[in-house]
Amino acid sequence: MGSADPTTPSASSTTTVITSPLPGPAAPPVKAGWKTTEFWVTLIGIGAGLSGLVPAGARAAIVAVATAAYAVSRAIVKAFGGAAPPAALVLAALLAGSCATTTPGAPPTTGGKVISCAGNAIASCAPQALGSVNECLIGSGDVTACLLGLIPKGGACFTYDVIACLVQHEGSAAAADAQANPDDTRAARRAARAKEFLQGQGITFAGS
Amino acid sequence: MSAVVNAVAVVNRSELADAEVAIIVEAYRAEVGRFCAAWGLPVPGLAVYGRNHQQAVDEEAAVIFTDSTDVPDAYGYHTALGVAYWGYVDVGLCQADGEPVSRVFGHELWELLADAPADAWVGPFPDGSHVAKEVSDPVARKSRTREVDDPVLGKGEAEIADYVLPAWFDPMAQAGTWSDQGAAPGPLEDAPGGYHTTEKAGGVVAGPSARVRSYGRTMRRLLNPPSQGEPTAV
Repeated sequence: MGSADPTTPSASSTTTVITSPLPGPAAPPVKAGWKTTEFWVTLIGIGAGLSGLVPAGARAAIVAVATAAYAVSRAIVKAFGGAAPPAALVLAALLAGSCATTTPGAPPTTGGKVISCAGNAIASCAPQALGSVNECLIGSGDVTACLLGLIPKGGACFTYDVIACLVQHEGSAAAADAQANPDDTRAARRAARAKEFLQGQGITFAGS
Repeated sequence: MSAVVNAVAVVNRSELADAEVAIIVEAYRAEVGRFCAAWGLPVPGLAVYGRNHQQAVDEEAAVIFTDSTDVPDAYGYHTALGVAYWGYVDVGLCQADGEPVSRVFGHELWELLADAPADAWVGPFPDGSHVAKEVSDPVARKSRTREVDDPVLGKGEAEIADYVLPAWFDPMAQAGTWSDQGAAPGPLEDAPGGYHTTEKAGGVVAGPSARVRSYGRTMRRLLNPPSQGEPTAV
């Protein structure tokens, strides 16, 4: 890593202290947590380099999982200093990380998410995002990139859940329109692009 | 000339919150099938574009909410340029007069769908006259409230504009319902506050309640002279 790592003594240090709670010979002079940290960093790099080999959704999922695992690894390393944490704790932490639900509004890290569109939080925000979501659905570019691109620049109401609910709402309406009128090609296209986004993200809706 | 509208963009360019426009459109989504069934039209999709919309509208027709139009005494109007059809709702004037914005939206939407090029006449009638195919004008002041309770868009309500049915244009019809909400008293008869535009021997007369001075629309109709053209059945 190019940036300074507080858990790694610098090469110019005059004293190198390697602590270990375990008796016995000193641990080899490698960076604590290598097996977890570097492993996940490597995976992140591999995932990012998978362009053209795997679908964008799968690539994003690999990078997201590796990134989350890397964060867990670093937390463990910091919690235990240079010491190796119990293997069971590492395993438990990684399992917890992989099973953790995403924070509200954040894209899912596992490629699948159950979203509830009921409630005031969605209803109060959805109309503000409706026009932008429709622009993505009627546009001709990458619908997923367009929709996810709304999150960082759209404002507080442009959360992942709000966008997903609107895509489902407008996609359903468009599908009904297209079914009622086969010549409504715009509606058919909106419905198809909505479906592409929802399936690509692996989103299911609570109660549906 | 007839034209079919398969998709309508609803664009907010007014001070109305996008949420209000979304509720109005949601209310009309539930009604547009009924209107199209009555008039034998394909059901168009409705897509909402908010105030921050930047792209070109892809739909062949649009209804635009704006704060003020270039027709100072019209709550709304619809027009056409070539194969592009659109209507306006003057939100500022509606609010100043207490006219429900949603009713004006419905008025323009129904008329846009029934006669997108805004150039159709119905007739000739026994006296040689023709009547402009404007399906909302005769019942312009009539509407009913529709509540919306959408899990995504929230709650609200909209006024659903009345519209005349094909039977309204048939002076020989003996009985029936002349408008969807029953406001029209009979064929070619206006509800209170309503009006219609008549052409006879090249002269065009609008009813006294007409607020819409759409000269462009009248000009288009005169370019499609009903007295010389084929009889237009509804």
